[in-house]
Amino acid sequence: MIDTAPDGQTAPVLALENLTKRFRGKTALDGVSFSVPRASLTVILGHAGAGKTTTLRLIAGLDRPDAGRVLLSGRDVAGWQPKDRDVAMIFDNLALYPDKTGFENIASPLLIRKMPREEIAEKVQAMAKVLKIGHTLGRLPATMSGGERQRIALGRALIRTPSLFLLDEPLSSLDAKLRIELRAELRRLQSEHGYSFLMATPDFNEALAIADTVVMLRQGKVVQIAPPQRLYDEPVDRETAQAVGAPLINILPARLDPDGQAIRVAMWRLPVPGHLGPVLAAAPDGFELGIRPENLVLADAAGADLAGQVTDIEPLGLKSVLTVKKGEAEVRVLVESAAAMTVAVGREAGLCVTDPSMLHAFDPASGRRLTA
Amino acid sequence: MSIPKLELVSLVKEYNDGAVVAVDGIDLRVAPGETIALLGPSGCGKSTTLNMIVGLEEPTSGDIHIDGLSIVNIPPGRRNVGLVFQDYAVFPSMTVRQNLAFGLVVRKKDKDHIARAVDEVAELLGMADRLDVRARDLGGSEMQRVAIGRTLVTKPAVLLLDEPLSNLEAAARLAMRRELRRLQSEIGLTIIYVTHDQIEALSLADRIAVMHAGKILQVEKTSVICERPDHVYVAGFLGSPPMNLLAGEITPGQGGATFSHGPLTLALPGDCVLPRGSYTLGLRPESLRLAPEAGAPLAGKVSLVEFRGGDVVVTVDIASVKLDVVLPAAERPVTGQAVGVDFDPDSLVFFGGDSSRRLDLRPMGRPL
Amino acid sequence: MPAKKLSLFQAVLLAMALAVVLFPVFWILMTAIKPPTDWNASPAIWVPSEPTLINFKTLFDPNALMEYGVGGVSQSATRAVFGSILASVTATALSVLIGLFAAIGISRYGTESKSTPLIILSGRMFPPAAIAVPFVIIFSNIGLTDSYVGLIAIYVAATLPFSTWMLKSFVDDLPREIEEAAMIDGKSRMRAHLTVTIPLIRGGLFATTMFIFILNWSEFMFALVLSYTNVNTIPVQLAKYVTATAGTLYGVQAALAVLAMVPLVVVGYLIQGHLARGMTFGAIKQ
Repeated sequence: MIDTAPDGQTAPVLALENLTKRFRGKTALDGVSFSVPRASLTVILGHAGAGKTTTLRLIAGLDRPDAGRVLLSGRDVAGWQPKDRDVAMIFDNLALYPDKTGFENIASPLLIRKMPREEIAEKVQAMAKVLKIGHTLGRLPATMSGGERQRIALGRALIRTPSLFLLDEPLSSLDAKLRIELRAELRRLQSEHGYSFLMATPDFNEALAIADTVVMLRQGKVVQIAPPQRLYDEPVDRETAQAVGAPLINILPARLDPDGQAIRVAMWRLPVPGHLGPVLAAAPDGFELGIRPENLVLADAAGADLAGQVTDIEPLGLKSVLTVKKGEAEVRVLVESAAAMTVAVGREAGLCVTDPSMLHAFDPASGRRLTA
Repeated sequence: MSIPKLELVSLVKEYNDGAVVAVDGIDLRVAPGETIALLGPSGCGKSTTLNMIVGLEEPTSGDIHIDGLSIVNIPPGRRNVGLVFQDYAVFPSMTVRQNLAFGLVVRKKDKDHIARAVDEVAELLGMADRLDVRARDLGGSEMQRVAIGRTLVTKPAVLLLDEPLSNLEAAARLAMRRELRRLQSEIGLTIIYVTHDQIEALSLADRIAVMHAGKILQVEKTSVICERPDHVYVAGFLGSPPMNLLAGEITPGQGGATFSHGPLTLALPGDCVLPRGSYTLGLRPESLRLAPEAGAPLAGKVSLVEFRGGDVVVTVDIASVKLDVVLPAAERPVTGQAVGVDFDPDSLVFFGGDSSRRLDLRPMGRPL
Repeated sequence: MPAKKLSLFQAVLLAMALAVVLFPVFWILMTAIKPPTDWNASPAIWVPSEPTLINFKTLFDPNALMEYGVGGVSQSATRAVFGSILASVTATALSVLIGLFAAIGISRYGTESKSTPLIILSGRMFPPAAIAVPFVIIFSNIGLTDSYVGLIAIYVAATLPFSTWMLKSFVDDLPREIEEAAMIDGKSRMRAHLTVTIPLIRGGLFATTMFIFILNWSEFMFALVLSYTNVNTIPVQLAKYVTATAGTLYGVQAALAVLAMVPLVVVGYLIQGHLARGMTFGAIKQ
């Protein structure tokens, strides 16, 4: 068991230093560094192939890094077997023991540690109650539903109290509704018991909803580490801004007017947003303007910041996404469905920027967000 | 509706001699050129219904009509129904052209006809320049377009898609939704989507049929169904987050009727027409607002704040009840903060305790 | 599998195919109970009019045929039977054991490439006849001729490609995360493989064992060249039933063959379901 660091302070429960892993010539992880504080929920967010699963496997000890260190509670665990690292893991394919009942699956970590039978039975029953799977304890995984299996996997991981929980896309194979329910359940369990969670997911909704901190991973590199609000409001580059948020952020080519009084965005002119003034002056070759769809509102075509023809209306329940096009440029705006009723495809519509301070500027070549 | 393109008549599917009822008597009429989504959680019977339309399963009772004629006795290959599988089922070693041509080759059409049809469909799908690429070298959304194209060349009467977007990554999904909507309007086919994802259903369909436990609970135009859920289950299924539902009692009283759910009590508008009894109250998260505790109809503590980007979902604990409230990100409270919850009386929705159907709170004529 | 209804044409075709395949078995069964006079009769006698068990007796009592005026059967078949059992069982056990750990090693810890099948199976691509003589020469240099050790060694080497390949396909089919979950739950790597991986491929392990057993039990070429006096297996013994006076003792050979068939039939029956699975050699991607 690892509880306190050798130096006596409460070290972060996990710290990765420059972790690198190559598979057959391809670099899966390239100098990944971040840390997970105790009693927090950190989410690794990235597309398929970004290196999320590789990272978790290296932490668990299932694979060995080619370079870099994994420190659990301050200790370098290089060469330590998975069983000695005091972590629990939920795999994306759950990996339940197919020939054991729900009870035996959950009890497995305790059985291995040779805990007395009565104690095990007590703990398993208590866990089953919390996760509401008491009725599945006597059954084999093959006879359970997806949601029940997910919760058995959760139970098996939570029945111990390891220093760190690793979750690899734990909700991906579930129905939309069940996913949202279990997401809240995970969050609740984490905060009530003070667990340390490290969760990998490609779904930014999940990441924004439950993370204390999000680690954005792209092609094996850490791109940004930030709490959800800051990741959304201050993305480090254009790709991150596009990866987080739906509908997709609008990215339009733009240029500062020679006289510095306005910016030319595609076919439109907008006043220079205050916070971007000094930044844009230093970027004479043009930039890309990022406008979030919810930062726009429908207005009269005359006098609007952006005007064009409505080319698409996508209803999404109480809100709808309108696409307005002028020339080659397309802009998406999120509106109330009731407001969407007032326009039609083919008609003119105008859009106004609600909050100019939320506009972003990106460097066209590197994609980096331009800040003062 | 004149003759519906597809009609399901009292369709029932049972297994194990009635022990398991997968589809419990559903009726549905799909107009020509319409796009309908069968929406529901796994196990609700939507895939079984799809299989019966295609012919992979036989109904226990009931009928299926295409263009007014019953098709239940026609073998699957001859029903003129196109099916796009969830995992595309594209032949990986064949080129795009060969894949698209497959259905016609099997039906022994002549070469010119096949070539023309393939070119037409490839153009429609934006794959005209990828015709000679091997299917296994395609990306996810390209493969899906080929899967759809393969059914389009045979010009089916009805096109069925089983969870078409579930295998795509988030970004591809958004692009594909747009693509599918464009295709829908261009080809004018009658299309049925089967899905568990309400965003998919809302984005792609003209009408949505919400299914649960083998029954269709409501069929309604997409633009209307979120505003007007007809059944308690539908109200709890649609919406992100879905409607807050509280089961309780309406008690008429001197100062006006009240609704009570456990210790929670709400005063109802003076012209409430609902008699005493059990009801389920629905409160839309978007219609709730945070207000100062004093004077607010409900008061409690913020237990969870979920960030969504442009807005936040705040969970307020009020005497063992949890209410979700949607607020702009700028207005987010702090976890643990004591808050009041206010709402517009017009936004209250009631469902009958027994019937589970939506009831009008006020005299007819007043819009909800 | 549920029975399919056959058309008359299909039934006739099937009967004809069965007749062709089962004819040798029928002939051997009949020959085993023929008296010596019927062995070489011309025209051939299909079913003996006076069936006898003398051929079976001769297997264990070499002089039993004297009453028919046939002598010179050199030895009883008991040694051959024991020899076959010893060689086949030991070689099978060793081959499966080594193959099992090789399979786990390659599947879980190896890097695979397009040449992996070739590398594993290449050991089996030599026709036994081509390498039999070189083996005799090498073995005689190290004193392994006419010994069960030598024979078993060859059997293990010859069947190892198969056992590794078949077992690897079963291990491949088991998601590695299941044993990794056990490792995270607290088992050491080795213990996880022993207590989780291996039990979960039980069916495949059984089928592979039976398959390798059949291969070893029927092997003739190497047994022949490596046996003089100490070593004897059933196939070799069969070849010994030739006398100067009465020529080839077909009846006795047939009797021994019948005995030898018994384990094969039993094993074949036990693994018939698994055989198709293992035969695809992991070619079908699940």
